[in-house]
Amino acid sequence: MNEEDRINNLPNSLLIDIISLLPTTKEAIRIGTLSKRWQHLWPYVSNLIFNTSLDNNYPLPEFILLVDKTLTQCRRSNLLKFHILASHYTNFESQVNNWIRYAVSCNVQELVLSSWATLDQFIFLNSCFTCLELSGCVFNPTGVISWSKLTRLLISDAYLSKDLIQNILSRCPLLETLQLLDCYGYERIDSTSKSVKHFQFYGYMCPWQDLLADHIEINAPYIVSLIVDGHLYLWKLLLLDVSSLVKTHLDYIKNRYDEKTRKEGNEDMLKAFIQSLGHVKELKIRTAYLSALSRLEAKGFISSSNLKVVNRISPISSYSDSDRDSNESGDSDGDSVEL
Amino acid sequence: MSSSSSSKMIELRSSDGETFHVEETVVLQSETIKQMIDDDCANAAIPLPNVTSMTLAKVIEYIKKHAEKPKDDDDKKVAEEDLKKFDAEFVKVDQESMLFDLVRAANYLNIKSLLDLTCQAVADSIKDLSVEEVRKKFNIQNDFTPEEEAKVRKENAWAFD
Repeated sequence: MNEEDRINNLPNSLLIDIISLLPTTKEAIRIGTLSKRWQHLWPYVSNLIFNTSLDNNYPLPEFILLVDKTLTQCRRSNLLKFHILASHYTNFESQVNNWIRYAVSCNVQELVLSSWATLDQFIFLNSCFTCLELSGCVFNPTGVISWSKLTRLLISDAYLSKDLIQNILSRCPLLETLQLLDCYGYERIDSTSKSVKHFQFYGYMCPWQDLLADHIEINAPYIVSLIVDGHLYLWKLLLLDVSSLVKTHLDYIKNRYDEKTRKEGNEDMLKAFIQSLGHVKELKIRTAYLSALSRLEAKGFISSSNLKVVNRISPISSYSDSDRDSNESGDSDGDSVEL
Repeated sequence: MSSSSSSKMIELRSSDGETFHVEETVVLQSETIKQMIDDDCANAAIPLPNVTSMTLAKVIEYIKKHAEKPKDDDDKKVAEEDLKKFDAEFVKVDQESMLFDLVRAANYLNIKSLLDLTCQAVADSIKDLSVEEVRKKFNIQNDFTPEEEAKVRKENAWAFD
């Protein structure tokens, strides 16, 4: 066999596996001009990825047309991934919901949607999703929620009423990982399902000040890992029963306090965290908290022996890896801020 | 590995007649071989007529590494990072042809994680290349007439901006 000809000798099914893993569907289509054989492969890719920022930042009408047109050419009956990452705020939710309807008809397992859209009810009642990442969407289910196969759920920049978050938690029997990024509207999270093992609380903020809660309570007796990260526009984040926790990373920046009580506010929250996390095997906080910690110790507070102060905490979220990597290289407000 | 002493050994024979002895627990990562063992076809050496000894040695290196079980949670995290590094190094093969042999072998042996890893490595190797560069790299004959190629481009013009 000629060395260079090996790719030509692979069966179509394997070439399709390969082009399914290109960064976006655009690349898979482009590769279709290699030869007549390749021309007919891309409609069978298992991952459909549309990303306006990678796909030349199309204005919205073009973006809608190209996604519509591409989907009419797709021939695959089962999809693994369907990603729509659109940096548009204009309303095009009927299209978005239609696209998702298509993906669901192909039993898509992983749906990543980053776009303003009110999600249709059919999205909430679904047994094909195993992984959902929904950013900027409006959650207003009109009927039952049931994600019977879902194992990982990430919601970002969304209003979640208390009832809604409880409803979701009780209707995802296999959910293992819950990630909430800058969501608001709820004041308490009760995760009493034994399946939920990992909780990431990444930021708390809200475009409307009057919807900001003062305190958020987390009651999650079965989680084993907890990450508190991002900017918290909160007076306090309270941990109730977190008795199964093994690993906790605290990497947050508290942003809500009166100027006068800024230091005290930071100290209070840190102290409460350390006190309620004495049983945790691995407790990491950022070096930015060193001064708050030493002020506490000067007042007689004895921090627990499990506490490790680290320079940088590696993210656990696959979703935000790339975002955070770019932030970290430029080192944003992270370690330089003294708290 | 301490647990290995008790594990049953399975004999695999490559297309060029070389035999390899691998623990059953390791080799079960291959759904194809697992099926053969379940069907009781693994009493003699298992012939793998589609896999050369060079490729099989590489596959075995991979499944051995992926069979190591971390002792506890702490170990697990280290092991996961270690595996990531191993995978990244594993697909840095001297000859690109080896990568395609591995794709083919992973598919034939039905080892999903290895198939994903090697297909991703091929995809990564072409993602930043122009169509012409990919043709050249893999010796792909452009059998379109210029008119046909222009038509294909026109059909999904957005992908070529």
